[in-house]
Amino acid sequence: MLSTVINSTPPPAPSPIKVNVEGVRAWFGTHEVLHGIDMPVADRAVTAIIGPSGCGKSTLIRSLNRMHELSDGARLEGRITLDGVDIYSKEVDPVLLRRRVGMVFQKPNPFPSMSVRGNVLSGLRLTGHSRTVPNAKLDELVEKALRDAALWDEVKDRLDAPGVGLSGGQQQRLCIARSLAVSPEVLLMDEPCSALDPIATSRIEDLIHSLKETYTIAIVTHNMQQAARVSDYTAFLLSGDLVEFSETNRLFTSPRDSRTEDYITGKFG
Amino acid sequence: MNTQQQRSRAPERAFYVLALAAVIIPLLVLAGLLYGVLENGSERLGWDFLTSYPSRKPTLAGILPGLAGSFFLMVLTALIALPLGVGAAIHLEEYGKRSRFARFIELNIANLAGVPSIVYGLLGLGLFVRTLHFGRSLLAGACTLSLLVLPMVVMVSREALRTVPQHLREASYALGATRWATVRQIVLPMAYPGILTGAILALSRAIGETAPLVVVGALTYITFVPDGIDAPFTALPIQIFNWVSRPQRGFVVDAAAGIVVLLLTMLVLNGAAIYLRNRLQQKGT
Repeated sequence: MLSTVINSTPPPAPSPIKVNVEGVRAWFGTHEVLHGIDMPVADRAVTAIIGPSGCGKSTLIRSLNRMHELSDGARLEGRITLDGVDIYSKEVDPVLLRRRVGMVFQKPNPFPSMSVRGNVLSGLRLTGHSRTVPNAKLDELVEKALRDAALWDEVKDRLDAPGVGLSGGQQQRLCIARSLAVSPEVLLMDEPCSALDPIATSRIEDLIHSLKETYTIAIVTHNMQQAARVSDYTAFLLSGDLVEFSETNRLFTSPRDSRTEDYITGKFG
Repeated sequence: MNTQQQRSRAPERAFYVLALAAVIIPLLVLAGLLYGVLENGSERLGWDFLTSYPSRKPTLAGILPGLAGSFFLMVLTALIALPLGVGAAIHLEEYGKRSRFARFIELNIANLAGVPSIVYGLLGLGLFVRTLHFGRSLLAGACTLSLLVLPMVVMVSREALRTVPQHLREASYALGATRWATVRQIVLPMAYPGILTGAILALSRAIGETAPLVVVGALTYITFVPDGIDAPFTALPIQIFNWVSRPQRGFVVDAAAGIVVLLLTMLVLNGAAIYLRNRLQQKGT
């Protein structure tokens, strides 16, 4: 049954594929949360993963930078390639992989002991790169990351204030700036707006639009309007199966699977 | 209706009185103890009591070797027990969480914390004094006290590490940090106040220990301040114990004065713990 679903939805991806998910199954202990997912993540585009709570969308996105395996009893099978290289092969160091594939979490989580500036530079400090970079260069980097995260104008006068003193939306953009500062290629966002108010949400969505010029973005969201607004491709997950994957426009206007239609028209979920 | 309301309040009131009594009774006992030792010891308390050596004449006897011995013991114990205890806690919390071996160790650490201190003394005598030939020295005493406080240091450190939210570790990993960088730069700085407070409290327990030191051979009558980690030593509680067991009334006064010194030392240590915790917490947020 699974194979028929996959066959009926050939992934249309005209732009080159940055990350490819091939037959991925994932478990927590004995509980299988993903039953074999195949989907591409297009280069410099936004791919949204939608689905009801518990469908496995967070697990899927966390497997893209090998964060899934950090949980107790977590296991994964299948292949995920980044630029054609299997990130689960023995030669790939997950620590180095995560420098190329950054992540923004559901709840804004700036480091409480660090200033705004310290948070932006935390990636460099944690990876031992900050000592090799001269101070002036670091200032430049802080400004660039904060500008890219559309936060610079709001915080430029309080770079030394604690990062947790910012508003929720600003904290989330600070976390995005923190991820950008280590210059990743892919940015994973796990429901980045679910803890934010509508205004902060729309700022993040605008930001996602501008970031896709430079970065490949995968975003998990339970908000279908958000998926429709920000993404180029959308994957619909249901209880661990990929029901449908296509261009966002098509998925929302003429879904091929009746379950997709039921979900996006609000019949369940 | 009025009586019903009063009746429903009766258990509440009774519980309040009980809880209040639970607070007041220990305080009264403590106050009584303090009053007793202060009254008994006041005639010997003074600068020269702190700076004199033990003597056959109670009015000349002082606490200096005991005070110095306890001080050096604490410093050495801290140097030995803290790195070991915090290291073990880091391993158990940050690295070994999933393994069966870690769970086995966890259980045993909890058990070790309940082992009577005299047993540690016997272990210290066999291991440090005899097998490792440390002799009846400061080092042997400090090693024994380190064993004694180690389970407590491990437990409070783990508790402190556990208060660091998991999502901050994840944020660090997602930036490409190694486990060690995450522990050192994110987790430890946040857990530091808790670890420090717990460590000082553990040390203030060690400073009052007598039995294990008697077993490893702390002397009761020395007329010098230890001049190295291999020197013989005495400690405050040992000195007090010695004075209490003498028949002359004068030594009872000395013992009371010694107890005041010991209590003050513990108060200072605990005060330092609270001060440091408050200061570091303010800095942290």
